[in-house]
Amino acid sequence: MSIPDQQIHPVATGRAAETVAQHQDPQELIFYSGWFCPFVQRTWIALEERGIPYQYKEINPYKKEKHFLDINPKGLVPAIEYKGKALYESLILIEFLEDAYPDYKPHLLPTDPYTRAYSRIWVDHISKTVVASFFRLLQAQEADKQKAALEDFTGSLRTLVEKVKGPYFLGDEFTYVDAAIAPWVVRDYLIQEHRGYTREALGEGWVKYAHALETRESVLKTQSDKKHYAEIYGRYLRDEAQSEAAKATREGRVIP
Amino acid sequence: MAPPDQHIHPVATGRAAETVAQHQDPQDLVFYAGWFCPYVQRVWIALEERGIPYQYKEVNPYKKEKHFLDINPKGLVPAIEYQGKALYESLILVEFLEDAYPDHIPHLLPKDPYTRAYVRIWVDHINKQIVPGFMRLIQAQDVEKQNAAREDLYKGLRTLVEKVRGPYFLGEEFSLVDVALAPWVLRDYISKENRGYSREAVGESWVKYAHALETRPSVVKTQSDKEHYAEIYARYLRDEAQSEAAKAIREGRPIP
Repeated sequence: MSIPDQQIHPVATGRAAETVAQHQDPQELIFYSGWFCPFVQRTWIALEERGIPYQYKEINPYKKEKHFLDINPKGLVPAIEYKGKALYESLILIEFLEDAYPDYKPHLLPTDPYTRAYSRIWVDHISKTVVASFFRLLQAQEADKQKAALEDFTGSLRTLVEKVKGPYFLGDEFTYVDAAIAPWVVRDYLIQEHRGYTREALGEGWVKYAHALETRESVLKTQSDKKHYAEIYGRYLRDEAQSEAAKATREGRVIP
Repeated sequence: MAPPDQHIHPVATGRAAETVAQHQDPQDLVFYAGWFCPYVQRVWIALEERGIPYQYKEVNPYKKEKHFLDINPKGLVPAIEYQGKALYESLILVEFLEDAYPDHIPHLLPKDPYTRAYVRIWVDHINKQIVPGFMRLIQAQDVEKQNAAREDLYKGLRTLVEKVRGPYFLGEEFSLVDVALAPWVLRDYISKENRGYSREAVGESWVKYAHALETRPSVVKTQSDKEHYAEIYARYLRDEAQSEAAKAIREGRPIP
């Protein structure tokens, strides 16, 4: 019996498809992506923000190609191949792009050591609390678990939004923290429609910030048509998804 | 009723006490520590490796002082106060020290962007697999769970040790991967005495690498006398510990 998540639309659509088409030429940097994956989208946003040349290659995470697994045995996306060697982990990739492409502007990490660390603290908050509770909320089946997860999720956003200077996290510049959270903001319609979440419940500051993120060009350019996400996220909503993130959430482990 | 973890020996002892005594003068950088905390020890090792001037301040995590909470509301250790502003998260602090003290040698992160990312990937593996692996093993109460936890831990360690060039992770140079792991290597006697763990069961290269880590001067200098850890770890072994890490493991959440 095939794994349920194998019936995924195989390619990016909408604005993302245009972006994919513009990145088919061979480059020093190959970007291994799953068009629907929010972790992939973080790195994809960074590539687009910074105008770094890359060749886009679609990976079906449930039918991985041999070369991909050869260079990247852990087999997860996002990953990159840079001068023949693989790297992975969405945030580590964004930091790598900062180090390896110092002349591409804008930078997503501030140069001042304190503000750099401050940004990393809030990105860490996003990964450990916002993203983790988003998946728990999506996958929660019983009403009491959904309620608890919703409280965790909105609590984690309240903590974050207090620090937003506006329009973006650090103010005028779109930076690392914004890239780290944007993919979950554009997926929040799922928990609006199915888990009782509203942006308004978090206040005007959150509504504004979420809007700023979802209308950022690099975010729009890496979004596929909404209808193709429905099948994937349907499985999360029934807690049947087989991604590493879904399994980890189900088992109370850290998302790999 | 006071939380059980409040009866902790209040100060560092042994070699760590000497190190504390050498760092009492006011400095640009104040290091907030809990002498027994493995996350604290990561930063402490980094400070000692790099010879960065710091003022050591003991924080009892279960009786936090007002000034500490004023600048660091999340209230966790390790934390630093740098030019009046607080930062926290052990690995973010080590990266901050790299950025803020560029002239203090050695560096713990390589300059080459690829190797830098490679180091971060393995630090991430330690954080996601190995640290929770040790903690789940220690906190597991029934034999089946302990056996499963031990096998998971061994797998995580074997994956890591395959990449160790020796004597340290990257070879001759002691780096962030070693820093991130050493505090748990020092504490593995707890798993050995109580959970059937042995370094030999992981493999000879693990025995060698663990030994290299535990004999590094910066690691030795930040260790207190073994007897004072016993009371703390006894609570973990009964799964009664109230630290944020213990609670997260118990509840299946990411360690904050």
